Formats: sequence, structure tokens, C-alpha cells
Amino acid sequence: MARMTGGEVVVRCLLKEEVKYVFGVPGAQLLPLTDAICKNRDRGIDFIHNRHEQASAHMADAWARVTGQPGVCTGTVGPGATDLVPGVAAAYVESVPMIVLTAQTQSWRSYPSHGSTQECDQLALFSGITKWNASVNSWDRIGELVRQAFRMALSGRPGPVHLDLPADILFQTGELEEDAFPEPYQYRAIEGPAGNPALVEKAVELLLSARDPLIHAGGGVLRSGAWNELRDLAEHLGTPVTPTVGARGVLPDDHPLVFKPSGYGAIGAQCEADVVLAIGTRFGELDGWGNPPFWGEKGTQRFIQVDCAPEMIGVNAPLEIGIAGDARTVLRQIMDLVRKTAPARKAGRLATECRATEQAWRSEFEDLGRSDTEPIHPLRLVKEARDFFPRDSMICVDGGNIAVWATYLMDVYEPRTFLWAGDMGHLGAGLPYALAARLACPEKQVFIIHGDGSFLFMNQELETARRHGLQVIDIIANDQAYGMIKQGQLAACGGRVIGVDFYDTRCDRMAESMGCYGERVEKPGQIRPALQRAVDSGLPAVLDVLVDKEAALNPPDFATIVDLWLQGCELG
Amino acid sequence: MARLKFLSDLYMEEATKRTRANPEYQEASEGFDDTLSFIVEPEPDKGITERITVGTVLPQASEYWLDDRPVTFTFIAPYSVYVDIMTGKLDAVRAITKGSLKLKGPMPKILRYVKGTNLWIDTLRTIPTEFEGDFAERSFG
Repeated sequence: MARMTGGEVVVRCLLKEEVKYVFGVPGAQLLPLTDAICKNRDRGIDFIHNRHEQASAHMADAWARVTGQPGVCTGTVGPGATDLVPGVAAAYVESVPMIVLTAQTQSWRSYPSHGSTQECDQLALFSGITKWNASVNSWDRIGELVRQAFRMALSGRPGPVHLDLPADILFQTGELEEDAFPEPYQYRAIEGPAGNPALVEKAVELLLSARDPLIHAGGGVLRSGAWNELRDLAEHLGTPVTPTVGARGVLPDDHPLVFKPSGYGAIGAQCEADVVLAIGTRFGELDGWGNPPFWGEKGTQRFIQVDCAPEMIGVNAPLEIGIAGDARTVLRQIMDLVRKTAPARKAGRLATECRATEQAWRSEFEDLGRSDTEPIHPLRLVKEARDFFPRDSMICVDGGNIAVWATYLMDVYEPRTFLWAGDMGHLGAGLPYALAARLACPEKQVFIIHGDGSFLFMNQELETARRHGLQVIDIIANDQAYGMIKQGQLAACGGRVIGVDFYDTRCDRMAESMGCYGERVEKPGQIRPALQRAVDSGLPAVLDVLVDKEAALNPPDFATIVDLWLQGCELG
Repeated sequence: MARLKFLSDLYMEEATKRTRANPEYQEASEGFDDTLSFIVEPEPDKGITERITVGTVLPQASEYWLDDRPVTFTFIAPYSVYVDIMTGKLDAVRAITKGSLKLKGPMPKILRYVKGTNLWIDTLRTIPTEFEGDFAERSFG
């Protein structure tokens, strides 16, 4: 029997889930929680304090994306909690499991408010951006509700969950036996659910009878760790694979069956396939909703959708077969049946034809990637960075137009090595993502490529990097503008722009001021040596690269993206 | 040269000549070797009352026709979309990928010849062109 605070009960529960880090900014009402972490450091848990809670949420998000385990973040009552919101929202829309812990004023003076300073209806605040949330209204229920939080974060469609912890509950002490902290397998599912066998059998029949089958792999494949199963199936059937933006790296970009999202090889394959096995994707906007022109004509293409969340089945594209189940488990079921009934096939006509299309599409970008023009072309920067870092590096992308430019030549070769808040499109997520990636994979090099606009949303986290000794290489394509918005204004507003241009900020000197390495780069030939000096510094580093402002404004697919975003709007 | 009515017999004859005579286009489209039809949907409220169909073989431009024939690729769009493409307001491949220029036929092959497609449109843009109906003021050359 041990006597412990509410904060210690929370931490003991986190330890059972093998949580290594809690990301946050401390506060008075959080004292029992942060102190419990401090006292339990020798048991493998630690606190990473940021300079802003948004970064804490982004770090928890990235931790989950890289490790597959829920990330944990915390903020104190009021401003701490509200500052977490952007990072939690980014994770929510991409189904990333997180545990969000907020302090609350004492239970006897919150819900309803009695006018305490900093008090905030945090349950309402987080209800729209979490799968589930609750107020821990009794010391006796802490363990139960923390376990429920993990159960909810990891079941069905994963996502962030939120616990609101009143200060009096966190400070309260009580006694608990060791068996009050069960093992995770005792209170939540460890394996994802299987698909209905009859539906799996029908899906296999359809796949095997297809003229040109295609596998479309979404973030659900990464979340469930199903890349080996995906590769087995694709290679056995010789089937092209089109990962979604959120699933980059699920198979290597240079795998002969893989086609980059939105590349012409992928669009061609998506339009031509007669049967599509879509796994772990809901056919969102960046997937063109599963509709032409990014997909085949209605009635000519049959969809099989596998998703862990039944409510996502058929939500956008009409289906032939919908299977609710975990991506890895269902892929194994499919593969078991395929192996029994069909011999391995060579890459089919569709893969071969679309490879030629992909190469033609890419060759134009390869040329720009070799450009010696000054100022530096954004693709030259992207290519130099990709070529410099090892294949298994952790890649973080952050920003508007530079993120589009990066799509073309920023090849990804391993699962869970590509981090981009693509769905929410948050500016500033890149640096916190990189820091978490470095914590999760200290043996790997980590780099970020982003614009100056996005860098200046979260640059203060360089100090976090320096303090924790986390070397990440931060590469800024500096065009002194919110380029994507500027180009949109130029195109749609008769050449008028507003609110999009910046002063020439020396991002490299900002880095130096926080004890990091900084260097400004102005010529193409300087990029690679600067990258080497950045790595050799042993410090977190910023390369402030001045890029061609005009070229940066116009990534080739900008117009297509705007078409998607503003579909149905009356534009001049 | 006087302006030629867009997609008329004379226009197609001139387009054929200029297509054959463009070595850069021919090089970029080597291996395409296929038949295409362009169907223009009427827009009566804008003064375009008739459906137009033209076809050709590219990149050779060995012949052209002004009726419906079985082809590998069929492009379908209202007159206004073609005007936007010909006047440079809309990129041809973007028109396909955004769905305003509908394609019946193997998408991968068309997307493989983007450079050739753009060069062909550039070639057509060298022809003094007269548009009809409400689009007359966008005639060029």
C-alpha cells in the first residue's frame, strides 16, 4: 500500500503504458503531475518542457506518428489548455492517438464557473477536436479514467482524447495497492479487429478477377503498422500502390509498384484501375473524394474499402465492398486467401504503363532540381536536402508552397519517417515534429524543410532543441512571404495582395541567439557544404536559404490544389 | 493571315500543317501515335448553338476529320473551356486533372505526354483564331 497524490496516480498509469515523455509547459495547478514525473524519472518517464503548449501538442502528435504509441501532452488551466488546441486539432483530423491532460481549477468551483482566474470550460473546448473527453471528478476514478483514455485513443479510428484534472483532485492523496495498476492487455484490446470473413472472401474474389487492380493505402496502414503486409500483397499481385499524402513512406517511393500521391503516375493508375482496394483511407479532399478526374468514371471502377472505423466506410466513394477492420489484420486475412488461390504475378500492365507516366512527370522536376539559377530555385533546395541526408532520415515538411514543392522530389523510403500536418495544414508544426522524431529515433538524422512563414510560427522551440540536445537541421526556404496565400491573392484578386509579405528576418541569427548553429545561404553551390557544416556543428541548426521569390510562388500543382479547396466557389 | 473560325475545316487544315511543321512538338510526342476527337458542347446562352466534333491523329497529323469516328481519346467540354485553353487562361492538362475537360481514354498515356500536349496547344495558338458568339471578343491573331 502506497500513499500518493492524484498526480502520482496519473503518472503510475502512464508508466504502465510505457509512456516515456510528457510534453508540456508546467503550471501551478499541474504541480502534482509534474512533480510525480520528476520523482519517477528513474522509472523511464520524463517531462519535455516547451516554450509554448502548441509545440507540446505537436510533439505528442509526432511521437505517436513515429512510435505508434499515444503521445502525451499537458497544459495548465486556461491559457495552457487553450494553447494546446491547435496541436490537438492537427492530430485529430489525421487520427493520431494522443492523451491530452489539462489542469482545471478546483472541482468545487468549476463546471459551472464561479469566476476563478484562468478558469475555462475545457471540456467544451476540446470536445470538437478529441474522440472523447471527461472531467476527473474524483481521486478514486483517476486510474479508471486514464485507462479509459488510452482505450479510447487506440480503439476504432485512433485519435486524441482529453482528461480535465481539477487541481484539488491532483493534490489529493490516498492509498492504493500495486494491483490498482493493471497491465494494458488487462483493460484494452492489443490487436485490431478482424474483418468479416465472408466480406474478405468476396474482396479477394473481386481483386483476383480484376483486369487492373490497385491498392490505395492511407494513414490507417501506418497507424496499424501494416506496411509489411501491404508490401506482401502488392508484390504477390503485381499491383500498383498509391499511398495517400498521409501514408508517405508506407512503401519506399522508389519501389517499382509505388506511385507518389498526386503524381501523374498515381492519377493515371487511379483512373485506369477497374478494382481499387482502399485501406485506411476515407478518400478525403487530397484524395479527390474518390471521384473523377482523380479516379475512374462512376460505374467503371469498383471500390473495396477497409477501415478500422465503421463510420468511415463509404463516407465518400460508393463501394462494392466495405470491410470494418484493422488494416494489418484484414491485410493478413486477404493475403492468407490470396496465397491459397493465386500464384504470384509479375507487375501488371497498369504498373508498367504508369511508371512511364510517372517518370515523364518527374523528369521536369529533376531538371529544376539541378537548376543553378540565382536566387535558388526551391526544387534545387529540396533535391539537395534529400540527396544529402540518409535514406532512413526523419523528414518533416511544414508550410504552404514549399510543402507542395517538396512533394515532387522529397522521396520517402521508410514507414513513419515522413511528418507533415497535411490535413490541417498547420504552419509551425515542423520544428516540434522534428524534435519529437529525434527523441523517438535518436540514431537517425532529422531535418525539416519549411518556409520562413511557418518557421516563424514556432521558432522559439529551437531553445527547446538546444536545451535537450536534440540536433535537428532546420532548412528554411525563405521567400519573405506567405507564398501560397500570396499566389492565391494574385490569381484571384486582380493582382492585389494584402497581409502576405514580410521583413527580411535573419532566421539564422535567431538560431544563434538560442545557442544553435545558424547560416544564411544565397547560392545553389553553398547548400551542400552548409548542410555538412550544420551536421558537423553537433547542434540544432538553421539554414536560412534565400529562394527565388517568383519561382517559389508557383509550384506546378498550386492551381489544382486551389481548385480543390475552392471547389464550388464563384471565382472571378 | 486572316483569322480562321475555331475548329472549322480551314482551321483544321492550318492546324495540321503547323503541327507537322513543328519539330519540337514532334520530338516531344514521339511514340504517342494515337487518334483523338474533340467534342465541343454547345452553350446556347452564350451564342454557341451547335455541337462540334473534330478529330486527328497525333503527332503525325496525317489526316483530320469533322465527324464522329471511333478514336482512342475523346475530349469533351463546353466551348468556353476550349476558349480558355486556347487563350492561355487555362492549362490544358490542368483542365483535364480538374475535370473541366473530360477525357474518355487511357489517362496514363495522356499524362505521359504533358510536354507534347502543351507544345501542341502552343502550336495551335499561333493560328489567328476567330471565336463565335459571346466569345468573339476573345479572338486573337
